[in-house]
Amino acid sequence: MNDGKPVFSLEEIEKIADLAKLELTQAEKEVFSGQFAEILDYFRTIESVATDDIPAYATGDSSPHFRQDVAENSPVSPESFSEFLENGHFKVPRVIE
Amino acid sequence: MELCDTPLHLLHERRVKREISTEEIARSVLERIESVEATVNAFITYDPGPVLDRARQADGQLAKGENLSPIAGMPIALKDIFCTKGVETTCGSRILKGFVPPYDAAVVEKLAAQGLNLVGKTNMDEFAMGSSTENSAFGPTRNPWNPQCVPGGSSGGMAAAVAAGEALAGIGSDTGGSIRQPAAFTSVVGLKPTYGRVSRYGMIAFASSLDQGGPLARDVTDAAILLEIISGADARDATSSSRPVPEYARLLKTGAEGALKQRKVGLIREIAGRSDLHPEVAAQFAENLQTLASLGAEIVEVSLPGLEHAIAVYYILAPCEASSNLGRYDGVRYGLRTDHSENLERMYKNTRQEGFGAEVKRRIMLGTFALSAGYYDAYYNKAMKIRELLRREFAAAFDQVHLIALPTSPIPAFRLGEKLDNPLQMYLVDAFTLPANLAGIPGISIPGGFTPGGLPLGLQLLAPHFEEQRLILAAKAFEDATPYHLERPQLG
Repeated sequence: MNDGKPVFSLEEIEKIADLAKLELTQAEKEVFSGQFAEILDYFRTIESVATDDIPAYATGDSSPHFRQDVAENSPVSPESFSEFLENGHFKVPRVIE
Repeated sequence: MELCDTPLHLLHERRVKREISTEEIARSVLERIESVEATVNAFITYDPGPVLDRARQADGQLAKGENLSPIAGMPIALKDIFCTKGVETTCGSRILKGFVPPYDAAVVEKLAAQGLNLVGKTNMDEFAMGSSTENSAFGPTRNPWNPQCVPGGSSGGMAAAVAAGEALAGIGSDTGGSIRQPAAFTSVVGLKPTYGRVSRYGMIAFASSLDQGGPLARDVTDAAILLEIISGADARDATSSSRPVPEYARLLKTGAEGALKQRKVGLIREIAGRSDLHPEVAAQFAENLQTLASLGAEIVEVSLPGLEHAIAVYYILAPCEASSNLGRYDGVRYGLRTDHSENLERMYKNTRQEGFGAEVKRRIMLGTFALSAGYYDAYYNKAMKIRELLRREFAAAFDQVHLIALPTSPIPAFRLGEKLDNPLQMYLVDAFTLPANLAGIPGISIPGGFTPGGLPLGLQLLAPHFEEQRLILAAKAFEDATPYHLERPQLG
């Protein structure tokens, strides 16, 4: 982080957008760069909290429960996707030219 | 009071006594939708077609002397975040326009088993990201109490529908206040259950460690009836709790009198002096505390210093989870897919650019940034530790008190457009609701008065994990002692 002054260049915005698989317009990039500086400045208030001996939060009142790794019938049949079903196969639009 | 404005459990009592029919109730709701929906815009999908048939079916069962669920045949709505088999489910997003799920959410299955009569799918902020329902791809919902104002969010369509008589009750979702805050803005009851109480299967994911479905209803009894129906373990949600479901509705059969007698109710010290607390909210909250005291409660100060950081923690964690959860919207598996992309990468990007609204993009970006190399420890990890601190602070507070009381929102409903260009200002609105999501505890918002200008205000009660019974009993005692839940908005 840049010595207490969060700045978001358009290049940084573009880099994050690329990681997030978003294609932003020039106007969106400019708006986000200003807003992110303000929002991240606000986020930095958490830096002052002492958390050295604190573990990360764990969700739920018990550990998640898992079922046995045994094959089951899917509640969803291929017919539910009839829009994409042709002769018993899924047909999806072509992507690569 | 017209049928469509009456609490569901009272309508059920009357139909069992044959004073009215379910069909009359359904007609009343459909007529109300016809007259106010153009103003309110509570629904994304609305299908009146089968509503009367299903109501008549319930009447047929009654005539045969069958023991009917209170909700059977009654027009109920669902937030458009719940997958409904054969019914379009958009989550308020253009990217899911046209998505028709091949299965029902667990909540929908449970309601269907009791005779669900779905009247429509309600409007919401896109992917539940927002506090005003203005982030919907299908236009904003307006507050039935003042159409110039927002109904809150993200379950704003659901809250507005219940307030305006367009549905008798419904199910929303609450990730940072999305049930309770719109309930407060529209003077209905909204209950966010303990994390794990209600299965998340088939509820479209926003931030999976915070999301929880729950009821919005006219009064506490209706909320208890719905909560009992939708609660319970589900093997398809690994975080759903296997604890037995109490008979929430039966709790109130004997009344809630004495529910607060000699009970300690916590008042959070750190809230009193906050500069963001609207004076009209503060004044009404003080009056509500007196009401609680008059019911026998002892008001005790508790300290929750971590509250100060709740907004920052939430708005780091929720976008982190969202950036991962929304990765699945790639143009291949669901809904929208753009044409004319020269390769797969461009197709992903173009589809997501076209399909997502500004707030969703903003949060995906924030989450992607906070999880990226070099920032993970400073943001995500740090926030998860403060979340644990906050959980501990709540646990310590509940060692001293039975419940905690606070306003649902620091401000009353604001005007459409007022906060739309300033995301941080919009985030700050959630200050009093998101602590319950971070700690995983249950909370309820009940009608708690009005501003001098006639905008509703909510009283929020919080309880320890899996103590929904405390919320229901105390809320009912407050409801019985106050007139606020009897008021209805006057529209057109």
